[in-house]
Amino acid sequence: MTSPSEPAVVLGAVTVVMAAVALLLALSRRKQVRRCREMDAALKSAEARTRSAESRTDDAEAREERFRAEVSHLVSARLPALKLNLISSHHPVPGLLHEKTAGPEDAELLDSVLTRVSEIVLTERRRVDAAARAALRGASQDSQALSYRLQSELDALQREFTGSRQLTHRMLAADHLNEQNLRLIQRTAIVCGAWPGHVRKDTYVAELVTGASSRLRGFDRIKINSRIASNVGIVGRAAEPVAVACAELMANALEHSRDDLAVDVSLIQTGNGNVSITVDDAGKGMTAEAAARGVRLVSADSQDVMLTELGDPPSQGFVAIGRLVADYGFHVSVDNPSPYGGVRAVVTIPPNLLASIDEEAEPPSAMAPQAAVAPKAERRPSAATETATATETPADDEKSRASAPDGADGLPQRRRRGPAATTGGLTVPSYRAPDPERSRKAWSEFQDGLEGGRTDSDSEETQ
Amino acid sequence: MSRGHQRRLLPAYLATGAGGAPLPTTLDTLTALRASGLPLAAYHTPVHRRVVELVTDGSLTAVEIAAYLGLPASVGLMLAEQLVSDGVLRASVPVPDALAPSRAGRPSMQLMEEVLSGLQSLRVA
Repeated sequence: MTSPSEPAVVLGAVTVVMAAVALLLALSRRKQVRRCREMDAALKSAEARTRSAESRTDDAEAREERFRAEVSHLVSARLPALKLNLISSHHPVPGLLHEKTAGPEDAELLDSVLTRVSEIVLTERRRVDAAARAALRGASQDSQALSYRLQSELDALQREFTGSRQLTHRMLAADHLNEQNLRLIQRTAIVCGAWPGHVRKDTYVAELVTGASSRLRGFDRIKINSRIASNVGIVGRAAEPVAVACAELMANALEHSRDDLAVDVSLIQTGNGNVSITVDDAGKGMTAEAAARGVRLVSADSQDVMLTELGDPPSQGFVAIGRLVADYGFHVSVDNPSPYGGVRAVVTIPPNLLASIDEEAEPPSAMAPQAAVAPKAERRPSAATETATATETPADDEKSRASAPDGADGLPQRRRRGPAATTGGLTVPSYRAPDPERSRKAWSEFQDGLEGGRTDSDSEETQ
Repeated sequence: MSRGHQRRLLPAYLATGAGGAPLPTTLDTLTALRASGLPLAAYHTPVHRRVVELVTDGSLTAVEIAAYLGLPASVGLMLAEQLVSDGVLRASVPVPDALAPSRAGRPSMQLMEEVLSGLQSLRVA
């Protein structure tokens, strides 16, 4: 056997080895390529991530920038505007700087800052206002009490001394000054939450309004016309509040009409039993804004008015009326024009605050205007005697009470008493009274006619 | 006017009206007043009207008027003076004290009449 030659063996071995190596190489290369591709992909995704991270960083920076701008806008523009807005709602509070791009959370957060600040400011303002009111109320109530004592003193002085006229005159003047002062103090006390100061007995409406007018400078210019029954009064608990409200309205009317013009006050009782006290002035009237403000202040449901809202000098009249209206249940309207072009203010007192006063037990004062005669009673002369007897019962009482000479003829404003005054101005009863001559004539004519007719018909029948 | 312990509602100066200097003192508390028949003017207060009403059919003194109206006597006098100066009231002198017969320390009316007749007889003689 021929043994293979050695070189051939070597060659064969080398070939085998080479083949194996080549195989291995090929394998490793494939692996290499795959890994290479994977690395590439990883690199790309890393790059993308980096890019997105960068853009997110930019976004965040931009948002932070915007937020910073919003906050500085809040501090520099919106908060100062809020300050003005809290004083008067006429001043608007601006919105966000970038309304559209801002996120809803940011907007909410920033707006809640404004809400919280205004809450804090309002709470604090109310606290300070309450403290101021308490201080003012204390001072004015003390002062009011002293003024009442001074009033009693002056009243006693007037009754005690009948000396010189000069002295009387000056005491009356001092009394009037004190009364005016009292009105101002009492009004301030009421604005600050105090009660009117004292409770009266049931009081005649006419007396109450006259008494209220006496608290004002220029009370001579107030002309009170009463067209309500003279025994109508206001229950004690509401008497002083109504007097204060009337005094304020009359003070306004006096202030806003010229010095030589009268202020007309009329008292009427309406069909539904309310008593209306109407105060008409001939001033310039109120602007729509002032009227709206007035209506708001005198209504019962807006009683959170603060001292700081009253202006400088504070206008307290309407606020005092508003507080009394809320507490005592009568009604005041100030938004009607008066027939003279000024303002007509009406105090309406519901029947539950009215009382009928026994005129004999509590005679009305001589200083209150007397009720005018109802026009209805004056119109029918034929029924004069009946009406007179019907209305005489209350009038009789008054007559006997007055126990003074009657003198009905000289008094145009009193209720009708003497027949002379009644018939004097009226022509009707003269021919209504039986006249014998006229009756005889009428009856004889009637009889003649009757007889004439009968004889005619008789003759016809006989013919 | 005060009613019991009540706070006064109607002050006395309402009766006389505001303003105007006081008139010179002309009337006495016992001066009799009666209405002259002149009508009242627009500036007169309801109290002026009541005063005239009181003295239309007779005469009263200023103090009586004040008492009827529940006013201080001093205010009654002021009212009377105002109305007399306006011509609405007429004042007559108070009844002379001499007419009161039993005034201590004063001559009686009888004595005065005797003096008068004595004087007249002197003049005749």
